[in-house]
Parts: sequence; structure tokens; C-alpha cells
Amino acid sequence: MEKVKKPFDKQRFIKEYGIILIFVVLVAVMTILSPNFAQPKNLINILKQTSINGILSLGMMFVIISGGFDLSVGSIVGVSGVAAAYLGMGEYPLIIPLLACIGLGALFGLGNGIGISFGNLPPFIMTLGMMTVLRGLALVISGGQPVTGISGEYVNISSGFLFGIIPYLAVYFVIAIAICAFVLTKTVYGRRIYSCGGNMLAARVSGINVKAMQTSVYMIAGIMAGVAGFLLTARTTVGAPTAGEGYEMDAITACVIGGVSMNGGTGKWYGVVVGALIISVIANGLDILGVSSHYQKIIKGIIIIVAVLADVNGKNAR
Amino acid sequence: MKKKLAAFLMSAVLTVGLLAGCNSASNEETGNNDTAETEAGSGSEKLKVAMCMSHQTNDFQITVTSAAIAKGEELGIEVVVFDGNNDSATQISQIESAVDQGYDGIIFEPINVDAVQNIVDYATQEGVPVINVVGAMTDWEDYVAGYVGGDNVTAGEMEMRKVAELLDGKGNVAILNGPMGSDPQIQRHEGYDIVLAEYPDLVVVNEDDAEWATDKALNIVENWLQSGKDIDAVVCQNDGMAVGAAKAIQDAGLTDVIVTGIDATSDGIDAIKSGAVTGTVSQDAAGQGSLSVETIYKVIKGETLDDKDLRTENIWIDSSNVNDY
Amino acid sequence: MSEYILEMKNISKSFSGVKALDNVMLQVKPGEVHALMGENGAGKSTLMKILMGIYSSDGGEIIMNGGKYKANNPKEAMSVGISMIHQELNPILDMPVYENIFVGRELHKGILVDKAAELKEARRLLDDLEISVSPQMMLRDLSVAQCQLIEIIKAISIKAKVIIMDEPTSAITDHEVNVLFSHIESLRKQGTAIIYISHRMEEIFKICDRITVMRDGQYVGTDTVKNLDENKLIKMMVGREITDVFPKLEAEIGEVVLKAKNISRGKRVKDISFDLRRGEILGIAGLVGAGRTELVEGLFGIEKLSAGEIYIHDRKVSIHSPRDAIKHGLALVTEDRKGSGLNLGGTVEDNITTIAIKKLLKGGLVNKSNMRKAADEYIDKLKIKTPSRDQAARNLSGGNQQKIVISKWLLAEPEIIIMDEPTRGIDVGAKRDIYLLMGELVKNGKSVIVISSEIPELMGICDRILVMAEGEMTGALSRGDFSQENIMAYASAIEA
Repeated sequence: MEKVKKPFDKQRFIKEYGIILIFVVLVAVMTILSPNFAQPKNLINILKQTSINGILSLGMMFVIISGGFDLSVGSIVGVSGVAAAYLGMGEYPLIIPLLACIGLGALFGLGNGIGISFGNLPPFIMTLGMMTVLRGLALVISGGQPVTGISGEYVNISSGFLFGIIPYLAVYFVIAIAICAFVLTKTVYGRRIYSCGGNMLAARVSGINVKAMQTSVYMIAGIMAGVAGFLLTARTTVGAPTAGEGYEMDAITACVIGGVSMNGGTGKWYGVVVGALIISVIANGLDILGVSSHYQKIIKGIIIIVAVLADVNGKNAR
Repeated sequence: MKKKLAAFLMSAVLTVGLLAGCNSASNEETGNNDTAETEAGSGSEKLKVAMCMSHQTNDFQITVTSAAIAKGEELGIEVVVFDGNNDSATQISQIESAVDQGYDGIIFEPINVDAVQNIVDYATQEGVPVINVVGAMTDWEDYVAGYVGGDNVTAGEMEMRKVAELLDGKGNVAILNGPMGSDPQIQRHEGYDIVLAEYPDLVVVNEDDAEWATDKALNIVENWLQSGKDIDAVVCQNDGMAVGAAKAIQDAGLTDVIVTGIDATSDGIDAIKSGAVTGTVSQDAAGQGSLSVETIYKVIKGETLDDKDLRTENIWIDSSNVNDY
Repeated sequence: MSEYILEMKNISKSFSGVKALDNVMLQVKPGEVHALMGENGAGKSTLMKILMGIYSSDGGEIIMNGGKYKANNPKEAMSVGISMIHQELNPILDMPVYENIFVGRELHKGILVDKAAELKEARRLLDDLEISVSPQMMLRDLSVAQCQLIEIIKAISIKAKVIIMDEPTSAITDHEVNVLFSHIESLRKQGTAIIYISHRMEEIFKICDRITVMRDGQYVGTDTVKNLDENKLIKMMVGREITDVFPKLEAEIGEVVLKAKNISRGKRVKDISFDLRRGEILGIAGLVGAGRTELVEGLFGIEKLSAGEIYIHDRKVSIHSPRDAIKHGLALVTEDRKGSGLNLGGTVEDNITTIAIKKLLKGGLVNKSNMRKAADEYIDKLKIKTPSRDQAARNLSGGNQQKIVISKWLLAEPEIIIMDEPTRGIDVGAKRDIYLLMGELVKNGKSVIVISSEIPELMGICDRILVMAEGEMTGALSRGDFSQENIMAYASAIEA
């Protein structure tokens, strides 16, 4: 029985790696438009600016690939950021606020997961409810005001540099990428996330505990959001109850641009990373050029539509 | 059956959590069903005044309402605060309910200065006195009994003037706005423009909308600092953004860039104490709150006001006087 | 020590008060191929889903391999040695073949997936079953038949003691069926028991040892294949005798109503020309992949034609979309009723009135009583078994679902009805109803084109049969010249 050798499929190549091409083109364009863009200091800034949304997007990636949707991560960032600020004033070692954020994120994610997998609530509704509740909670805990007075050590978590040049934030991002990429591509658990998202019924009848899988991915998203909240407080030096508002949209955008299908079952980790980078590059480039942030919104929206068009049409073309 | 049980448990847990949290919050309600009716100025029961604010999510707002409530206790008035959630329709409903539930007076901060004329007419028809606080509706003199507020225009002017002084009238200025088109943003910018017109050597090199948010301000200023233009001062329309701008400047290793804000919220005050932010403008939030209650009390009692337009003082706070706050 | 490897005794199950199974029994010996037969709605799938742990029974017991057994989920069922090929395919479209095969039982080293081992094993399984598909291909790119073959591989590779095969051959060709059967033989020799659910009598009599019949949720009886014949079997299933399986009504064949000239669609359909006459039932035979569905999709405007012309009543027409097709009096009952035929969440009435809704308006507005009448008319005409017209379509059996799709089209009063595998996955009784319906249609002056992979079916009901192979038309036969050998020969005309 001879094996069929597949010729180099140009269409598939573009589909899989197209997003990287777009990123390269974007960087080139920005460099041409403003020489200041390609300065090392600016590129480092871009890494810093991508990290927090990037970590959030990686968590969101798990949820979307498994076929779900999470609107609450922005609020989790807010709540955990406030909690971290209270705990990060120097009284306790920094591991305490970090663990608190992870714990809170896992807890809220668990809430989402249970509501969706056991309560059979549509993910959109459940996480919408959670988003609203947690934002209120953040305001209540903080008394409506940003929590100030975090320790210098805590601030340094985000402003410091490894070996003097690599920002810590980027290091955390890279660690998160490594872990997430590994889990998704190499472990049985990761494979099963794709199975659930690809065809939940098939996964179920093949013996996968779909409810447990669903619950676990929301916990992952929650934990990533908690970590993002921890880092955001360090970066802005305050724990603002309104922090993270709208972050879920950027996370979803990064995933969509990166090729994660809203139907679940497909998506590559490097796509999401590139997606998050693209968002930062656009914001950064436009700021340097002095273009209003309102235009960024328009451009982000257009890119989402184009990215999804390409995805949908890629699937239909046979 | 399992589905319903799970849903019920979930809601129960969430509700209990909410209620527990609510109890520790300040005296806030979003509309109650109290049907106690009181005639205006009857004196037989404690007076009840509704205070409808645009939102209650920052220090400034909370200072206003806390001071109002305290003043109310002094005068024997129960002040009930309503959070309009920055939504004009919500606020209109709240004012309407306040009238229908027999409140003796209404103090409100208009979310949309052109949307509230009808509802104020309704309140007046029903005999409920109304005054504005923090911000004034369009043509307020024809509608409400008084206006107690800060003056966003003079606040913006004071801030920019201080910056001009500190720069000796010459330099590159970057501006961070609140949400474009909102009234505070427009008014504070008006103040800026007055000063900028007087100092032609003060050049605005960068300007953008950071939506009152610390993290957005941080990102934007971080990027501006890479754009190749020198920035001597970052003028922010509120303290939240000033804190973010200051952090970006600090991260970039620059030490003599001026950063200013408005509102004198706790994060701004702390930042002035630590030296990150140069100064802020206090619009005496507490003063606005307590003066508004004093004023509505007078109106309910039927006294005539000497002056319907009552503004609190703008105070410049910097390292020299920050310890008083 | 029982002679049976699996015993299901007194199994009962109700859904919302409706009894689906009533004290049903099934006993399977090791190494036997045991057929489970019955009309649609008889309860076969429900019984198997209980066995697989997808449903739980309300009463009765199951003894597996000598021990009392109850699976709460499919994983438990698989762990005691039961696996299932589902009637409704469950492919994960955006995953490659080798990952699909090992869903839920991924080959692994610790927590890591062992991709190399999976690829190797997948290749071996594919070669064994002579499936010319690369393990890296995405299921989205495979045909329905190939997906079904992958499902078969999945079940076989689990090395179960009991394999349930629910309509395993509904989408695959005779050649592939033979390969499957030889595998069943080797499984049988290994002592694996197979529960075989199918409506294809020929296959049952070829491969099975014993047959258990169910009817309306109840156990009717079990006997060896030797003691049964088609008629006896049908009588058990239906409760009455059906004398002819392929009723052919006589109809007058008239003038040419549709002329297809040089129809091409890229490589899939190459230069097909044919005529269709009034009152005629025209069959299109061929192996899977021959291009039959692609041909009719092109005629109907679902996909673009790269070349060719269509003439209806001698007038050239341009059909760029299904809407155009409908306007010109065409109807298409698609191959995949769940995917493109039904609104599963809608009711019977909703579905039936979808296309022709304009006819049911009153004063320009939707008129409920007209819609109800239309639904009732067709429920009656086509003998659709449903508790009411407001029943959700997804709750009905395959045969009844198909009848709803056909009703939907008939309500629009088309002249030319194209049916793509209309009797797939449908029981004997319902199939007959559909054949009779086709006969009535052509008697009333309509024309029917029917695509089918069941040659006996085509031979039974068609006036002419066209045969396609690899996109080309390789043969055309009139009723007098029908023979299975001829048709198969044309269908396999080009061997790779």
C-alpha cells in the first residue's frame, strides 16, 4: 500500500503561519514609518506591554480551544489586583499575594467551570454574570478607591531587569508560554482539550470526562488572570478596582487573530503569542506616531474581522 | 433535577457572598421600596434627601458622598446615595423613583447635562426641590434651586498655570485626557486652553485619551517617551492617570519630568508624598458634599439663598502642603 | 459458566414518561456475530447506549463476562471490554486521523502523548483495513465514507470483547464492506462478539449467526440465521408481511424535462450529460468518491459549475443558487439530513413548512392554522411517526426525520426531485414508504433522480440507471439490462 506523498500545500502554509507573516510585515511598516520604533528600548517596552495581556490570552486560549468562552477574566484581574495590593505592602513575603491571586483566580474559575459544566449554563452567560459580580466585589473590597502603598520590592517585580536588560515581565511571559505550549502540544490533557473543543459529543462517547475538562480550563484561565492581576498591580503601583476593564476583549482578540477558532478545537499557542504581540505593536506604533488611541480600536476591529474571514474561508475552501 | 439544583446552589452562594460584601460597604442603595411618604418640610419625621451621583467608583466621588452623609447627620437629614453607573437612563429612573417615593429633596450630579431637563421639571411639579452638585446641567439656573460644585474649568486652569510657572513659560507638554467628550474632560481642557493661549512657548507635543485609567496612562506615556520627542511635563486630567504617567517616567529613568493631576484622590496624594507626582488640584470634594446638603436643607426649609451658584475653592497641593491631606 | 459473554435481562427505560424499552433481553455468545434488528424507533440504539454507559437503565440487569455490570459512562464500558461504532458519526473534523483514532485513549508515556507510537499504530490499522488515507490527514478533508471507516478502525482497535456496530456500512461501498467482513471474521476467530445493527438484509444473512428482533421497545424473539429468511424476519420486525420490498408502480414516461449537457466541476465531475424524462425514476450508481453528490450539488446551485448547461423544458436556465433551482422546480433531499436537511431544534411543523411557507401565508402574514394543516397533511401522507406536530425534529428516528425532509420539499411542489441516499439508515417499513412515495410522484407526472449505494435498491425502483466512476459517466442502463455485475463493472471502471 503506497503512502500518498503530499505536495507542498501553499494554502495550508499560509493558513498555519500566515499570522507570523502579518506580524513581520507590521513590524516592518512601523519601522519605516518611525525610526524610533525599532530602538532597542522601545522593543523592550513592547515586550513589557505584551506580557500581561499575553499571559491573560494564554489562559483564554485554553478555554476557547475547548469550545468555551470567558468574559470574566478582566474582572478577575481587578479583584486579584486589589487583593494583591493589600497583601503586598511589605507585611508579608511576596509569595503571599502571588498565592492569593492564584488561589482567587482558581476559585473564580472553578465557579465558572461548575456553572457551565454541571449547571449547563451557556459560557457567555455564566462568565458575564461572574464578570459583573467580581467587578462589584473589587469595588466593595477596595471601598471604591485604588489601594496604594505597595512595597518597593513588589514594584520591582515588574520594573526590574534580568541581567540588566531583559525585563522581568517578559521573563514571566516566556515562562508562561513555555508551560502552556508544553501542556497543549505534548500532554494527554492538552490533546483532550482539542478533542472536547473539536467535537464534545465524540470526546464524551470516547470516554473523556468532559465535565472535568471544562471545569479545569476555566480554572486555568482564572489562574492566569490572577497572575496577570498580581503583575498589573506591580506595574501600575496601585491596586485599582477598575483595573483590567476590557482586558477580556484584548485576550479574545489575541486568540482570534492568532487563529484560534471560536468554535473550538483549533488554535496554536504561537498564534496567540503573535496575536498579543500584534496588539501591542499596533498600540505602541500608533502612540509613537502620535495617533489617537481611538484609531487603535478601529484597527483592532478590522484585524479581527479579517482574521476570522480568513479562518472561515480557509475552512470552506476544499 | 440535577441541573436545577446546581443552578439554585450557585445563585445562593453568589447571593450570600454579595450580601456579606454589601453590609461592609458604605451606606449605598440602588433604589429601595420604602414607601414612607413625607410632606416637604413637615418636620414630623426625619428628612430624607436623595443624592444621585454619576458613579461611586473612585476616591473623589466617595469623599463627596461621605461628607454629605456626615453633614446630613448633623442636620438631622438622612442622605441616601444612588449610583448612576455612568448611565443617563439609570440616573433618570433614580430621580423619578426618589420623587415618587416621597423624598424631601434631591441632590444630583448630571451624567448627561442635556438629558435631565424633563425629569427636573417633573420633580419641581411634584414639589420636590432639586440642586446640582459636582457638575451642573445645561441652563441650571432655570431648572434647579442651586449648584454646588467645583469648577472643572478653573481646576484645569490652575493645574496648567502651575505647570507653566514651573517650566518658566517654556517647554514641551503632553496631555492625558479623560474619556473624550465627557463633561469633566471638556471643561478641564477649556482651562488648559486658557493658559496655553497665554504662553506661546508652551507646546503640546503629545495628547491622547487614557480614560481615567492608570494602566492605560502608563502604556501611552511609556510609548511617548520612545517617540523621540522631549517631554518636560505630563499634564493629566486626573490623579489616576498621573500615577500611571509617573511610573512610566520612573521606569524610563527620567527624573525631572513634571507630572500633575486633578482630584486629590488618595493615590495622587500618596504619589505626591513619594515624590513621583509633582502636584494635584483639590476641588474640595468634602466641601462640595457637605455644602450641597446644607444648601438643600435651606431650600427645603423655604429659605432664600443669597447665592445660587456656590463653588468650592480649588487648592493646589504639592510636596509643600501634602502632609495636610 | 454461562455460554454467553453478555446478557442483558429485563432492561427497561423511559424518557419523560415515554417508554422506550420494556423488559428487553439480549444474549450474545463469544465469537458470534449477533444481529439486532427492528424498525426505527424499536429501541435498538437506546439499548446499546445503555450498554455503553451513555444512558442508564431504569430496570433490569446486565451481566458481562460473568460479572454484574453497570457502566456510568463510556470510559467504564470500554474498560470492561465493550466498544461501539456509532450510527451518527462523531468525527473531530479539525484533528488528524491518528489523533481521532485514539481519542480518549491516547497512547502516552506518563503525561506526555506518544505521537510516534500513535502514528505507527494508525498506519498499521489503516493498511490492515486497506484504507488509502494518510494518518496525518484532517477528517475535514475526508469523505463521509472515509470517516465511517475511521470510526470502524477506532472500535476495532480498542480490542474489546464485545463490539457494537451500529449501521457500520451505511456510507461505504461493497468493496469496503467486504474488507470489513473479513475483519469481522478474524475478530470472530479471536472470540470477540459483535452486535451488528443494520437494515441491510443481505449483509445480515451473509455475516451473522443469530438475530434478535425488537419492535416498539419490546423484545420479539431470537433465532439463528439458518432458521430465518427475509420474509419471516420482516414479519417479526414489522408485525405484518411485506410482500414486495421494492414496489414499482407503473408510470407513463413522457417528454424530456431536464437536459444536462457537459456538466463539469473541476476534477470532481467531468463532462456529464444526461436526459431526464417526465414520469421517470433515474438512478445514479457509483462507488463513494465517484462524484454523484458533487454532480447534483452543482445542478442544484449549491456549488459552482466549471462548465456545462442545463435545460429545463428545452429552455436554457442559469442556476447560481438553490433559490434559482427551487424557482425552476427542482428539489434536493441531501445526503446528510442532520447536517443540511433539518432544523433539529425546530418542530415537525417548523421543518415541513420551511420552504413553501409563502404558500401558507394569509394576508402576507404567517398563518398558524395553514401551517398546522400542511404539517398534518404530510404527517398523514408519509406516515410520519411522531407524538405530535410540535415534537422537536431531533427527537425522531432517522426514518421519520427523512420523511420530514421529503415533506418539506414536496410541499413546495417541485417538478424534479433529486434524492441523495434517501433511505440511508432507515428501516424496511419506512424505506418501502419512500419507494411508494417516489412511485406516486412519478405517476403524477413528476420526475425523480435518486442516488444510492445500494444497487438492489436502484435496480428495484429505477427506470434507468446511470453509473459514474471517478467523475465520469461510465455507463447507462435501461431497466431491461439491469444486472448487479454490469453496474459494478461500470462503477469500478477505472481501477487505480
